[in-house]
Amino acid sequence: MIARLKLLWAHQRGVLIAFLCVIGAGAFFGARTISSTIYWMDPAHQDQDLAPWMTPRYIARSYKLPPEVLGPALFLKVDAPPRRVSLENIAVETGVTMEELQRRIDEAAALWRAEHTQ
Amino acid sequence: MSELVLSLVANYGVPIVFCVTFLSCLALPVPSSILMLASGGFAATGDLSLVAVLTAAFTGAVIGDNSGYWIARASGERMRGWLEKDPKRAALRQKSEAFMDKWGGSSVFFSCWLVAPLGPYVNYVSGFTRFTWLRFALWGIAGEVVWVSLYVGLGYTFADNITLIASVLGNASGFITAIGIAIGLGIWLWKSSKPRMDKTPERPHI
Repeated sequence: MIARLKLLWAHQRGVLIAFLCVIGAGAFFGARTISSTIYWMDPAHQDQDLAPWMTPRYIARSYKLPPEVLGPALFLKVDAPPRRVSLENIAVETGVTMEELQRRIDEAAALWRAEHTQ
Repeated sequence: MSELVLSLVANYGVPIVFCVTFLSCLALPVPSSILMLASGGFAATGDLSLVAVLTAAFTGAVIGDNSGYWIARASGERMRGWLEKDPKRAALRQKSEAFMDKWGGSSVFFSCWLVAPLGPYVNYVSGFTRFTWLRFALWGIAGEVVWVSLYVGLGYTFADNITLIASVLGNASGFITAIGIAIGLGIWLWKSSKPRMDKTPERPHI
């Protein structure tokens, strides 16, 4: 084995280095797969941070909130028909920042969960 | 980049899904995996239609694969004179043609989904080596069915947290691709060192 490695180092150095690099990349991605799975399994990480691409219905599902709780937090009219609109556009239309929207939803979620955990 | 593409999907819907899967099959660096997961999530919440998402992603991917194939095939034909002038280049091309003849079908199939980062390059190699188009197209369609249903299906199922499923899958895909390349290079190194080992006696004969 050692003799073979020595031969390869002498004649195929480039490929051997590439081989070791992909082994390293494999170990890196393998470790990250395991760590992100563990992170994902933890119930404390179930609420993902809001992102500009999310829609009200998506947030309702992710945060497990009914529309009547989420709607007012996102300045949506209660009787308006559901439509696909990104959070980014809601922020622009209503003139608030993403942080402000995150705070409003966190507050609405905390209040609703406090009422419904008993 | 992924945030921008996801916002585009939220604002404009399935045409974006089509465009992104199309471009990703031509090796352009667009975030197609997280896009399909998020579109599956949007289908689960009712923001997009599941059938429309599946159709757009599938047709985008298949048209993208075949465009890559024909672009490479046309440039391969144009470069034929240049390739055949040098014996080293001609040998490399012959070798890759022989490889594709033997392994082409499974390479195309698995590079669509299991080692997806390699997918666009396999399309180019297939076209360049004049791999039979019908075989390429049929294996490609089979592979894209798996890729699209896997990613959109996982997005639909785990719609609660697309960000996390995307990070798990992205890392897993990197892991599988790296291991796949390592196995390929390992076999190549092993084979190429063998003739030399045979020539080098371990100990002198007395």
